This record gives sequence, structure tokens and C-alpha cells, in this order.
Amino acid sequence: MATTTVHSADHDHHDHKPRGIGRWLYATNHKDIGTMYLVFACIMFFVGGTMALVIRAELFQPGLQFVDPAFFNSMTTMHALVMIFGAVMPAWTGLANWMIPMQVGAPDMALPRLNNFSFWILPFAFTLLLATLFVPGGAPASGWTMYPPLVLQTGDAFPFLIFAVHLMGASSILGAINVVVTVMNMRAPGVGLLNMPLFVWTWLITAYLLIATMPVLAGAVTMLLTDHFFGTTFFAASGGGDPVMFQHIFWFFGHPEVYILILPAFGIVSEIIPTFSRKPLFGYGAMVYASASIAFLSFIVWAHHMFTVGMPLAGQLFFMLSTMLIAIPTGVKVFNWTATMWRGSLTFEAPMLFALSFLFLFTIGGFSGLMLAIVPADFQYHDSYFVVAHFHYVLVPGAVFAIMAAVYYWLPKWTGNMYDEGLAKWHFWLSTIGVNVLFFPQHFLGLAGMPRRIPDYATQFADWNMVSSVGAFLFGFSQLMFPYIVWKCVKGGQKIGNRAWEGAHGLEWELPSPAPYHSWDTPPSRDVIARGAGH
Amino acid sequence: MNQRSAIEQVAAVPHDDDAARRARVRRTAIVLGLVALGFYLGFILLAVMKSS
Repeated sequence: MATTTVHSADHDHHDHKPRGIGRWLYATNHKDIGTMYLVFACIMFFVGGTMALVIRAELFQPGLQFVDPAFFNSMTTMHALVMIFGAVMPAWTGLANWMIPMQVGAPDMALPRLNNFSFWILPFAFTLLLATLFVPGGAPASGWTMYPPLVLQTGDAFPFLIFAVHLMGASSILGAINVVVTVMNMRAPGVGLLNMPLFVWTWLITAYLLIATMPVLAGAVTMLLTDHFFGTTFFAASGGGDPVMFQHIFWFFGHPEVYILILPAFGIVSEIIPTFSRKPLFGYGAMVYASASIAFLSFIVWAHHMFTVGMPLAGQLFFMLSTMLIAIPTGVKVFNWTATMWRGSLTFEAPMLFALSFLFLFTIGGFSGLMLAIVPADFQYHDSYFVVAHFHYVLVPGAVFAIMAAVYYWLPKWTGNMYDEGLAKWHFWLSTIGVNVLFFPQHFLGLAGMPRRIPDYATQFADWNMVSSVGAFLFGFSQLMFPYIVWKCVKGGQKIGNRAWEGAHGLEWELPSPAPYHSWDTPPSRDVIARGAGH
Repeated sequence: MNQRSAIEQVAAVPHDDDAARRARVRRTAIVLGLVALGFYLGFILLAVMKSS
């Protein structure tokens, strides 16, 4: 304990922060930048959520009630772009910024000014994207997949969309480079690769995925730009191009993107379940190798999104079987989390509740993914609400719940105060009930044949759509509790010590709470590292 | 790998000095940036070759 005391006393001495707006504009401190990412993600979550509520309000009943079909299509497109690139990815980057240096015993990210730059690109990117709501021709309405030739019919919004996607990609690539460089070069002596926390491991793998795939998306949209403005015909059949080639390139990015969104969630859950089970994680090594296997497999499954486009039988078999292979490392994870809880001394605080909900509901999303991987079945499910239900089960109670679990888990470390557990539990139960009422009926709608991305539908789909919309409003409004709980915790609350949770292990819990503005200026000693690891 | 032995093993590695670490940081960042650029240009080149 002595080392920690000396360390914190040292920080008290020079723990000064820059003041005013300059602190944020010129921020190079990983905690400040992490906070900015998280606040930005929260704002975008509510912007994207509002768009989702417009969609669900329109779909509450058959017929056209509130919006015209073109605007409805814009809402589905913008909702996806905002949630993926504006909410979930920045939230992960925010958590990475906050936690990775503290967890590996580094004083900051390796490239702090690059870190500032990669954050400040984002507000410009999303201003551009959201500005398209006000330009002639309306916001992009071709879906987040931006398939040509449909996307080439976008009005004045087209160059805004392309530039915004380039900026988001640049921000993600720079952030990812920073994470890899930090983890590979800034670990304190004694923090080996195979004793890093799982959150750091999964983020390291995610960062490699980002570096490999975001440039592919950038390349695809650059080619769209040249097709639109400079007379090239990469994707125009009339000039010898191939629109299907865009789909191949897009999904070569798009499928690993799914794992970019979910791998850090695996890391979070692997931190939280052992803490609240008061047991070490079962199969640490297997979890690392499973994460790496999932990342590798994510590069060889992309065409399962394109079965109905048409491909040789051998291609169908390859992509079906490679997709099913992903179930093996994912199963390893699910069983290891379950084994971690086995005979553990479990308690059910908000982070654990969200992690458990993740475990059950992400597994539902995984199973419906397996169903979609079966080629003949996919011919039925493709472009139906079943697909919408599937990926929302993966991304909402998957990625979003894991982000909420992470915030509740580390909020006491960030603020020095315990959040309001009662309110957090209300938030959890309303979210869990809401998300299931919202998305589970969409499986039935899809199996019954309701297509996705339509503002109106046959009356046979009316009942489950109504239930789904009720769930959407329940889930949507219950999320307002989240910023309130966080704000309340920032303002005050029961003070906590270094270790907010009895069963928590890791270097971050060796630091005082709230975590000092500058942490690990002096690398943690071997004793501190061993204690952090729970030895 | 046993976690305790991993800690002890890596703890024995001496601290490298700041200049060496900075050079390593810069080198890693440049290599990763070039990899990203390679993917960007590589896929465009692939499309050019397929279209022509």
C-alpha cells in the first residue's frame, strides 16, 4: 500500500488542471479527451435515438402518419450512421482513452496531440453529416451501406456524406494507431502482454481491425465520389464497372466493423463478471485467443451479407461455413463467462446486471446470426425485419449495454463518488424490458415477411409493430435516466476508496479515487502490479 | 501462461530510456499509418484493375 500512498501524495502536489475552454480545445490529457469522447457519444446517442423514435412513431400503425417516405428513408440511413460512427465507436474510444493508460501503468496515451486531433475531427464530421438534413434533396436516404447506383441519386447531400465518412474514418484510424502504439510501447515494466486486462486486449485487437478496415471504407467512398463527380465508372455497369464490386468492398469493411463494435464489449464483460463473482476470469488465455480468432474470421465472412446477390455454390458454402465457425470462439467466451460465475459469490449491482443482460441478449443475437448464415434460410430472411431484430440484439443489449455497464463500473473511479444504485437499477430494468419489447417482436415480423426500410406495411403486421413501437418509446425515454445518474454522481455522492468494488482487480484500482489528473507518472512497482492482478 | 510468472519475467526487463521509447513510438505509428494507407490505395488499385 505504501507505494500507492507515495504515488497519490506525489499527485496531490502537482495535480493541476488547465482552466477554461482551453482545457478542452487543446486537451492532451487522456482523461479529458476520454471525457470529451464520452460526452460526444452520449449526445449522438440521443440524436440517433430521436431518429429511431421518428421511425418507430411512423411504424406504430400502417399507413403514412407523420413523415413522407423520402424522409423516412433518410431517418433509417442517418440513424445507423449516427449510432455506429457517432455513438458506439466514440464511446469505445472514450473508454479506451480513460482506461487503457491507467490499466497498463502508462502516464498517458503515446501520442497525446494526435489524440486531440482525432477527437476534434468528429464534431466537424457530424456537423457535416447532420447538416444534410437541411440541404436541397434532403439527407442521404440510401441506407448506411451506401450501395450504388442508389446512393448516386442523393441530392446536394452527397459530397457532405462522402466527406463526413472520410473524416470519421480518419478519426477512427488515428485513434486506433494511438491505442496500438500505447499498448505496445507504454506498458509499465511488469505489465506483460499476457497479463493485460481483457479490456486492453480486446481494444488492441479492435484497433488492428480498425487500421485494416476503415481505409477500405474510405477507398470505397472515394470511388463513389469519383463516379459521381469525375466521370469514373467503378460501380457503373454502363461504363464497364460493377455495382456488386462496391458491395464486396463495403462488406470487407462492414463485417469486421461489427466486431469493432462488439469486441471491446467482450473486454468489458470480462472485467465485470469476475469482479462481481469474486473469482478470477475462467480461461484468460482462451479468452485472448478467442478474441483474436473472432477478429481473424471476421475478414473471411463478408459475403454472407450478399447471398441473395448471387454467387457460385462453392462461394455460398465457404461463406456459410466460415460464418458458422465464428460461433466456436464466441461460444468459448460465453461458456467462460458462465464458468466464471459458477460457484462465485455473486452480487448484482448495476454493472453486473447490465453485463448479465448482455450475456443473455447478445447470445440471442448470436443465435439469430447463425440462422442468417444458413444460405437457404437467408434467402427467406434477407432484407426482412428478422435481420433488423438480429443486429439490434447484437448492438443494443450487446454494445450499448456493455458501454453502460462500463460507465457504471468505472464511474466511481472517475469521480470518487458512488452513483445512485437505486436509480441505476431502475435504468437497467426499464432498459432491459424496453429493449426486449422493442426488438423481440421484430423477429416475428421478419419471419412473417415484413421487409425492412419501409414506412408503410400490410395490416397483417400491425399488432407486433405497435408492440415494438411501445417498447421503443419505453426504451428511449428510460435512457434519459442515464445522463441524469451520471451527472448526479459527478456532482456528489457517497465517497469511495481506491477500490470501488470488493472483487475488483487491475491497476486502475490501485490509484486513488477520483483518479488523479496525471496518473502513473512513475510506473507502478512490481508489488503494485502484483496486487492489482490480485496476487 | 501463469500470470505471476509473466509478471516476474517481464519485470526483469530493464527500463529503456525515453529517447529509445519515443523513437519506437514514432516508428510504430508510422508503420501503422503506412499499413492503413496501403489498404486504402490497395483497394482502389484493385478496383481500377478490375474495371479496366
